[in-house]
Amino acid sequence: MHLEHLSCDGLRNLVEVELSPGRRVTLIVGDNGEGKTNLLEAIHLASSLRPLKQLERQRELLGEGRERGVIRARFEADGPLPVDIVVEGHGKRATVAGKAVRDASELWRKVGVVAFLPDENALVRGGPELRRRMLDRVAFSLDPGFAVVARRFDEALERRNALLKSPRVDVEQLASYDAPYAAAAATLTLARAAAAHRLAPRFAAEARAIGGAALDAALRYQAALDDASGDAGMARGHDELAALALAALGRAREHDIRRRTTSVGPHHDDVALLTDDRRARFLASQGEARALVLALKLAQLRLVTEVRGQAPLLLLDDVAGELDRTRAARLFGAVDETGAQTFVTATHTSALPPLHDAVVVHVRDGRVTPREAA
Amino acid sequence: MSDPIRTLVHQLSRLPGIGERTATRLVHHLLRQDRALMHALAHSLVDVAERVHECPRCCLLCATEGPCAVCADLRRDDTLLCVVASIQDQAAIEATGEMRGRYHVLHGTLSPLDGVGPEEIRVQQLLARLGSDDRAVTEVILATPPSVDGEATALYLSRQLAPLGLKVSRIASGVPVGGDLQLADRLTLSRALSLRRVL
Repeated sequence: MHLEHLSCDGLRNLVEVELSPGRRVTLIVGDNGEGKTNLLEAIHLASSLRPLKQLERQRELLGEGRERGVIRARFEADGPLPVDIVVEGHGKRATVAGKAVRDASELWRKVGVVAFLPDENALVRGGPELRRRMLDRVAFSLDPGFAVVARRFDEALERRNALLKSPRVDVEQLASYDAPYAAAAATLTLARAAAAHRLAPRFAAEARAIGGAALDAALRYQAALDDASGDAGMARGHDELAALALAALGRAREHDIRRRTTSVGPHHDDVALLTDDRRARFLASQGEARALVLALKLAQLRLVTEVRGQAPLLLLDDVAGELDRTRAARLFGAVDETGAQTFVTATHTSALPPLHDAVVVHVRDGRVTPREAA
Repeated sequence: MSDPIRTLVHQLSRLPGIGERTATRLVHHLLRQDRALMHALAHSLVDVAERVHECPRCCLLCATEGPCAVCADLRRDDTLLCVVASIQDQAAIEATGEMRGRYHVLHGTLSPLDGVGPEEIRVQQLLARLGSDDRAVTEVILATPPSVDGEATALYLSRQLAPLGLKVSRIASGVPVGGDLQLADRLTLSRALSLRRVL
């Protein structure tokens, strides 16, 4: 699977972009603010229908004064696969092979993408939300049906919270939402536990490979439904977890009514990243945090490649600014091994280790001009 | 654009799925047709508005005076009552030919996001009929959808029905017949496993 061609116009600062990437590595060169990351954004949207980063408003995707942005991508995935996306202020429409797409998982089954962005140290040092989202992406990449599981839980949580926020809480109604909520929470917990179970050994191995034997790192899913945790989420069956959740909801009811929000459930999960058995969140240096983020990303790349039998697209935004030469070499070594079609942004080609067969394009003021092969 | 056209466009565009552009197209289509079509349409609308009402017993919509055709049918099983969220759901279940009992249409499910509580759907009517005309009922089948709101509505009803001492059942959900297990989504499979039955 690879991207053969991408046209894009009106997305952020991009203007009439025509990109014919290399089969292996495409190096996107340009000064800061010229539109390199925006080009990655277009590729990310085309391959997953999701933006690179969580958006506050859909409008952020559009260029100044633009009503719509258009992306036309042509993938080769056991035959030609055209993806067309129109982004407007209030939402986006997409067709894959001429058919309207109902949910992103349809596209993920065929394409898929893993992205490395700068400033992701928050993944290690920040709050649990980013780590939950990371784990959810892994779970989704292992099984696109995860989207249904996550949505079901979100729906249940939203409804339960709406009842808790009503001026006079109807306890009978609230209790009626407990069982569907508990069931959705249990299903989500099990899906996350399964994803963490597969990610953890790869994460530990990558951390050792990057940081040497001294970097003894581990990943542990901490399910809010099951504080004893570890792999306990896997050991318990769905019905047992749902029963635990239901009992916990009952105990927390008075508290939840007072606080007007649901306190029990996987929206309080965390993914603990440990070095030497201690929480990296509070201990890791900037350099160590960076190594752990890289290990997480490589673990994802390898896991996704393994599960799908082919590598997803790989987007590397300004990795040279983030990684020292040794780590960058390690990253590109892994890229070579997986054979992922890769897009790398940099201000100068000299900032990167030598790349074989790289196609170099230049981005300036939102326009892309092809350059020579490196 | 003259006033009557604009008014009609405005009225049509209040319907679900019809925006102003579609409404305009529909109106111009009608204007190109024989005017008799518009008269017939208007007459049908008035007829529906004046004659169609909820059946006082099961809340199905009907155009007859008094109870609907299902409620008036004496051959139906009076011991079985199937509770559905919508008229479309009732039609789907009726089309199977499996349900020989009576129906009750809630006209919605609980929906906290839209501010719909038990008072906004036909829960009181259900409890009232079980306490009067429908004392023969021994089993209530809750056939609300398997959505979060549909599940919660079924659980709410089962609690309300508990004091009546009736058998209360819930329609099964799981893998579609003729479906491929590999293609079933995780949630459906997980429910199918959790609601498995002994053979």
